[in-house]
Amino acid sequence: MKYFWSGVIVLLFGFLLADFLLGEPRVATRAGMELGSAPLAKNSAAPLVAFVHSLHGDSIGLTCVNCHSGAKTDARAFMPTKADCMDCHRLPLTEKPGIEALDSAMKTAPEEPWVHKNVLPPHVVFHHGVHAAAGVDCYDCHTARPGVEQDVYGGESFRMQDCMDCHRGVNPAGKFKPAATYCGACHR
Amino acid sequence: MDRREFLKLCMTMAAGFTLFGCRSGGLTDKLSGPALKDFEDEVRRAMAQMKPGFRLVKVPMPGEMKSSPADRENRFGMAIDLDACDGCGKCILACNQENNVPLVSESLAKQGRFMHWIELRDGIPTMCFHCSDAPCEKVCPTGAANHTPDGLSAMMYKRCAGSRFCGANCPVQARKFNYEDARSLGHAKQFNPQVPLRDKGVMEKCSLCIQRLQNDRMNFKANAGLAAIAGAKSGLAGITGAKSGPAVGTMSGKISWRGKGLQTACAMACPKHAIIFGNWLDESSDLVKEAKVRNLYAPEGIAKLDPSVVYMRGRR
Amino acid sequence: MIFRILLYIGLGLLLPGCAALGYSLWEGPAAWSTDVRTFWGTPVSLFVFWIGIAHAGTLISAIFLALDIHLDRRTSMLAELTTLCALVVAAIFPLMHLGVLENFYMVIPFLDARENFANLRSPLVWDFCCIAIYGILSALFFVIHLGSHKFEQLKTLRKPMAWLLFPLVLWVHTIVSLDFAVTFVPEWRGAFFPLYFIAGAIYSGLAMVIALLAAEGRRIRLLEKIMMAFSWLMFLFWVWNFALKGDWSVSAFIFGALLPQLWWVSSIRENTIGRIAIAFSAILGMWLERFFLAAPSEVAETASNFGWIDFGLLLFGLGLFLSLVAFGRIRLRKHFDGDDILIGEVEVALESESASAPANAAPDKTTTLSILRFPLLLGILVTILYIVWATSQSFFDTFDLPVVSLIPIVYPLIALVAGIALCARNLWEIAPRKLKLFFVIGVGMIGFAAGAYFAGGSSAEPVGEISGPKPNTSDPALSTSGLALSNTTPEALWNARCAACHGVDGSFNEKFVREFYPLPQKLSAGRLDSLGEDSLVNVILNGRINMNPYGGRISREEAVGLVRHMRALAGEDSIAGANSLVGTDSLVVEKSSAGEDSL
Repeated sequence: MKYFWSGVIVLLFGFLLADFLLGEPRVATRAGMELGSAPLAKNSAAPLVAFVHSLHGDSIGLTCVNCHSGAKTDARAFMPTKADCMDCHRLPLTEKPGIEALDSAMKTAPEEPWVHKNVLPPHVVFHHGVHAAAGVDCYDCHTARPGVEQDVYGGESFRMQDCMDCHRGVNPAGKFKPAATYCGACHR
Repeated sequence: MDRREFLKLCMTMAAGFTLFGCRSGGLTDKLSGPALKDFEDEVRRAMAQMKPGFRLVKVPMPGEMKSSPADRENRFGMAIDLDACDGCGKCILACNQENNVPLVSESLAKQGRFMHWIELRDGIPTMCFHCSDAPCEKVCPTGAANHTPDGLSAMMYKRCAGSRFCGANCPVQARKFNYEDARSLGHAKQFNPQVPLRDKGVMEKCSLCIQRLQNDRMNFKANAGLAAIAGAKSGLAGITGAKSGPAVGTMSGKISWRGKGLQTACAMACPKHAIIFGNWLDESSDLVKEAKVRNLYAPEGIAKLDPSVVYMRGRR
Repeated sequence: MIFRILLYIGLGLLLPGCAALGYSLWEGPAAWSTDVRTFWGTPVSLFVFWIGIAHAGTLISAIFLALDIHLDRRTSMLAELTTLCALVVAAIFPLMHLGVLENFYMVIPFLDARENFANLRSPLVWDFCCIAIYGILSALFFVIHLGSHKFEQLKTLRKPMAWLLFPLVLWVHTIVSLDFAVTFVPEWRGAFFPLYFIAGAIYSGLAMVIALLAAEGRRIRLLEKIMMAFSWLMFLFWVWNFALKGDWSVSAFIFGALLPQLWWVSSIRENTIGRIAIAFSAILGMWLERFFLAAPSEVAETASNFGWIDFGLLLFGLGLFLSLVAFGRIRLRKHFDGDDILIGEVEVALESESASAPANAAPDKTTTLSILRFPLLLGILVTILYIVWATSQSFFDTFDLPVVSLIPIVYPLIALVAGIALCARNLWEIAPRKLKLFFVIGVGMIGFAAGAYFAGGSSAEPVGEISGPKPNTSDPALSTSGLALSNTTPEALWNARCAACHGVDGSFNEKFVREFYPLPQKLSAGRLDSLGEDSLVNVILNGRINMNPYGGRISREEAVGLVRHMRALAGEDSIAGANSLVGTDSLVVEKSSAGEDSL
């Protein structure tokens, strides 16, 4: 009988090992986004200035949608263009010494300074607006810890089971109602 | 040579021959994609090799889906007016462009195995009829062929293992199998970025332009809240819907999406307006209004399977 | 010696077969001849053919054992070896039949973390389960037979295992026939299909075993009689099928039903070559029958499409089978060549181990039952648990899983659990240490595979790696340059573009504005009305003082919508806004008077 149990334990161990190795974490660690990191801007000798979300967020009264203009209504959240950045940054906004580096980076930045890698494959339909309308906050998905804002976004790797958990109503503290779970709702 | 060595030799030779088999099928990458003209030519060719038609029998008007899960408000479908249709084939080309249907190579074309989701059979446009009791879905081993609650027989390409059981079980042969890698052969062109290109070895078929339905539904839902608030606040609802926003239908006071104003690519392309797309459960849709006064038909093989796409002929 | 020759023949056939296999794996289903209507072709027919042969082996060994018809060890061993080898060959063909080979695991009815589940209503899933289980149990049966030579305790397990396998053989081939019978293809429909398939399977399997026995230099009259009976049965089925559907394949009929009747000629029957020829005629007939069945289009068309790849696949199957059987026979020769071997012709050979207790069948039965009782109960319990679990899953909202569709896997599941429960302990006790180690590693790997299946992949797919033509540039731009927002009500546009300064409700976003900017214009109803729509639109598009121009980013219509929205906001809270912002009023007035002129 003890062989039976050792067999069970080995089976379980193998299962968990595979799940551990292959089930990826929600957020892959990635260096912060930097202004001018776009391939377009690679040629220009613009200095790179890291973008810090916490400097642009709640602390100064802005929300995600003020820069990512599609985040609440559109399929895609969109990255801001240079013009969008310059709406605010054409005035000197701070006395900190780094601001000059920022200004010169801004001057040489291309029209679309941010490169966004679309992490969802083309057969997956994701609509930011529908989720926002259902009361899902941006940082419910775009973060390592659901519901907590962070400094650097991007590089998230999403797994279908995370989507499915929420759609089945299995989410932190039952925050959201169950949603559609038939295949044709999100795949094409 | 002793036996061990001999067996070893045989093993290596077997592996070598397997690899040899693989090698001789080397695909040549074509960098230049096909032109629109190639697609037009192929449609013409397919029409020249027209397949025989099906016997049509009368069917009742499609109602709520019988299989679960069923949506009580939406069941999308089409009616094709055979009195108006003259078999021009414009729907085929429009469908190919909307859904990025690839070309096929000469060997397949000779056998009449085009990838076209719409075919003319005896001059009648024939596509997947989106049966509510779909036989293809029952036999799909992986569940890649399945139903949406609003009446579409959908196909999840990434889940498809290519067993072709669905194709064997479709009475109207509406399913098309990707025998070749259209992308690396240079047979595919992504006319519509909204629709992914299919991989080699998966089944595909008419999706009833599911991408249009999805986009419209999501856009509607994303803005329904805002629109409702604005409408309730003041009499300014007219302004809020200014930019061709999705139409709003109401049921029991709640705003719900009924897919108003949506059209499939084939319906839009038809010069005779013979293809009418709409919601079978929406009394005010053109589809229901027209179908009510016409005789409805479906191919004999699927007439009992409650198809969502039907033919119309003659007035009632 | 004869098996050495067979091995070389098999390996010789395998080489071109491997080339055909490699080519068809590379090229996909377009490589072989497929039917226009059903997309099925050679591999499916080869699968049905080989699975048929796989059935006869166990049938002979297990069913005869269960029914107390004793065969000598050499025959039953050979039959079981045939089963195993034919199963290996048969398993390859449905796999290569798939369009997307790497997705084969999706057929396993096992839930993953996303709760993806195989469609248990599909006969293909039943088929997969049944054949996998049949393979496992056949291997167990064979191993027990091998081991019972040396270990006394395994002998008692043979009969219970035979009783488990007896229904399974019939069950599995019934399920294989359902692959065809449940479809809408007119040529495949018919309630007689399970019996038809079982009869065909036994017929071809017997023929194969008879041919191999001839190679072994022996002859079992009983098997030959059964084979002849089945040739008549097949004849009846073909007539019945013809009467029902008008289907008739002449070549299958000639080889399968007519030529075997030469058995009645004693000079052919008594000649080894003649026996082999007749057995091969039956095998060929059955293969032709399966081939025309799997591709039911016009027979002539199907035959003319039969290319060198199809022929190569045929050779591959035959070559692999022959080499496996011959190799197995040579490796295991000491198990075959026991001291109890009976050379020459035997009618019914008694197996030595059973011969010790020939008369008392009754106690034998009770011991069989008592050995089987616990494993069977365990199997039934596990199966019930599985069914309850499977039917209670919600999966996706795509289908209901009726309990009826689980019935086809009920018995195989029971048999699997019971068979493993029956043999595991005894086998473990006698297994050498090295084998145990391998076994533990194997279990770990199975667990790992299951875990990998469960975890699934991440959806991250670097866009840059897509080969082939790049998506059109008309793809909605990822940045908000131009008029990228496709879905904008004025409210949404306001919230995205204007609310940073002007606030969601039309008053100021104080936190942002106070810190960085001079306060923007107060958007009171009176002021908006006095300025008029046109000039406000111009301000939005061309900018003013501290306000940036939005000309490139917002269309004129959208700007008009924004102005109207602004007016609607002001209309509601003009009074409230005035009250709450008394302190800043003077500033606003001052700034607005300064800006008025420039308009």
